[in-house]
Amino acid sequence: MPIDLSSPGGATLALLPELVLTFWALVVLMYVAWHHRDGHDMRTAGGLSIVGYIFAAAATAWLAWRGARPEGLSFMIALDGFRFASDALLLWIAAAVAILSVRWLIRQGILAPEYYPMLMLATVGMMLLAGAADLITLFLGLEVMSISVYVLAGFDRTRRASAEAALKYFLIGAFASGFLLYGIALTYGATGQFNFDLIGAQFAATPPTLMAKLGMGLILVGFAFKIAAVPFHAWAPDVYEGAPTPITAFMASGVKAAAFLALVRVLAEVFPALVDLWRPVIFGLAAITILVGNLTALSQTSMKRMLAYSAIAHAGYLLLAVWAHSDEGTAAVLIYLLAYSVTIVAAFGILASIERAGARTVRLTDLEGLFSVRPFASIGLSICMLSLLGFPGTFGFIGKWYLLSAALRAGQTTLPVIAMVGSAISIGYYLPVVLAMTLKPARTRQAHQTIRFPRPARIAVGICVFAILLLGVWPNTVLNFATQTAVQLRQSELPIGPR
Amino acid sequence: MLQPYLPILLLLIFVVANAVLIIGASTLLSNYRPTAVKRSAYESGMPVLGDARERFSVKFYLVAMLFIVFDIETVFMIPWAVAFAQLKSMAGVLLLEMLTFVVILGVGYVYIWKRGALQWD
Repeated sequence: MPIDLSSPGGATLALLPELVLTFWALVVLMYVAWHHRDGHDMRTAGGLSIVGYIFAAAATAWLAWRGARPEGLSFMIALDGFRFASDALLLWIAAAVAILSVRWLIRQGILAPEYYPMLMLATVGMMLLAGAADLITLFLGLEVMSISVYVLAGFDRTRRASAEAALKYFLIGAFASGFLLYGIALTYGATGQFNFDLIGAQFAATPPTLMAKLGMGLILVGFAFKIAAVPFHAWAPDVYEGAPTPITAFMASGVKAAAFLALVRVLAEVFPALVDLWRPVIFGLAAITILVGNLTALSQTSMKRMLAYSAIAHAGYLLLAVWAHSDEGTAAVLIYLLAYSVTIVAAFGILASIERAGARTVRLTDLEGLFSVRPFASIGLSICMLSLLGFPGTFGFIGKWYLLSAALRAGQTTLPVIAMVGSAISIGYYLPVVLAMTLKPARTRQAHQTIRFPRPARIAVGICVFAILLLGVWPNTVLNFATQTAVQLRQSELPIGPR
Repeated sequence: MLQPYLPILLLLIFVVANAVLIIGASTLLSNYRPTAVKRSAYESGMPVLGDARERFSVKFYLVAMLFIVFDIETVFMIPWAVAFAQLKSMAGVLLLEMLTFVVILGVGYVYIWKRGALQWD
């Protein structure tokens, strides 16, 4: 179904998933305006927001099923399999986070149902960011996402750590947006175009000027802040630790996924002609991110902080596939983001249930002896740790395997070695979690009495853990889907030239 | 490449030189006899009471923020209204787009009203 994106009707049709979600966020906001008193209102708002994600996913599926593609130039928003896959990934993450939040927020005494419209608007921003075909849409999506997530990070506003997280995230985020915007301005100055395909065609035809190269560099810096790559990572641990736990899961999986999907698209469509220039940058970022992330995670005692540093290390692994700059690399990014988000959502879901009301975080010592009291939760958390580690038989292993093979096929041998060394280091902080739960006795008899694992969260986490195991041994469907999708990203840059 | 920007550079140099000249000349040529009254913040105004860095109620910021949100809407509407006459062929689409904008704004307005952000106490 070809859609003319330059006509108002066509643009509306192409933006259907985002529009449905925005409309539904406004509906939930109206519900919240009248009902914001007690836990029942919180639960209803959460349930309504999940309905919104289902509607948006249905709209995405409809576009994908009708084979929507742009007629002529891809104007403002992309219409290809990569965007639909990105939307599906981001929507499921948001829905899972909403399910995890429902009882958790009530238990923590955060009775403000605005949380759910905010989460939906952040998701709209993420979808626009990942589906942008124009530098303006890219920036708009980034800002919608970021501003909503700043608010969500500080949502537990009576707790100092949460307010601190919001302020730090806001200041650093605004700084990063400045870099990105300056890069966009310089790129526009060098080419006179905002559209990804047109800029790409121009760079392919004429050698890029110094201004264009500077623009690309600043755009890369902006993205490096958002994906928390070393040396632009300093904000991540404090923000991840201070934010409400479901929001930490959202930032570690959703925000990072959206930024990576956008980065892959920008490098594939805007700057493919400058590949020799950005590859060394990605190489350096990947190497230092993997090493610093893993080494710093070793010395953490707080689980949220440890997972924050491990999230930094995982961003480093993902940069391997970005370096590859190939169909395999794009497919590997999709697979890895799915594997990582499934694992992170499950891990934070379990941690959120263990977290005491009002506590800043869960410490490693809080997990001691969990197996004897809560065997299923501790087995689930152990599977998540093994998946993050990349243990064979889990989905994390498949993801890491594809990252490494994509980098190797693109002719890179140093980075995979560094990634393997990083993985070896990460045994040193993933396995102690498993050992603390199974081998050590509980500190006191009353330990683990405060654990509340409500049924919605239990079902969501159960599905995630089951998916980790199932896709770990039977990944073919997902692999084929990712490979077909990745080819479409390349195809979308082919119809270039005056039309 | 940078040729067109030469006037801007000249302007910058002129501005800096001008500032240095004026301040330098007044420092070198003037007499300086301060008194307590002369050195106060408002020489012919009210005597200063306390520090300006006080704590304000957060409500002031809320009101200011809401004012900006609903003030900026005009910045969108005026160019739209001006351009409307020139784009008669797309009148329906333009009207729909502005209605969408106003509806979103209206939802926000109803929300802050019901949430009590417009009440002072």
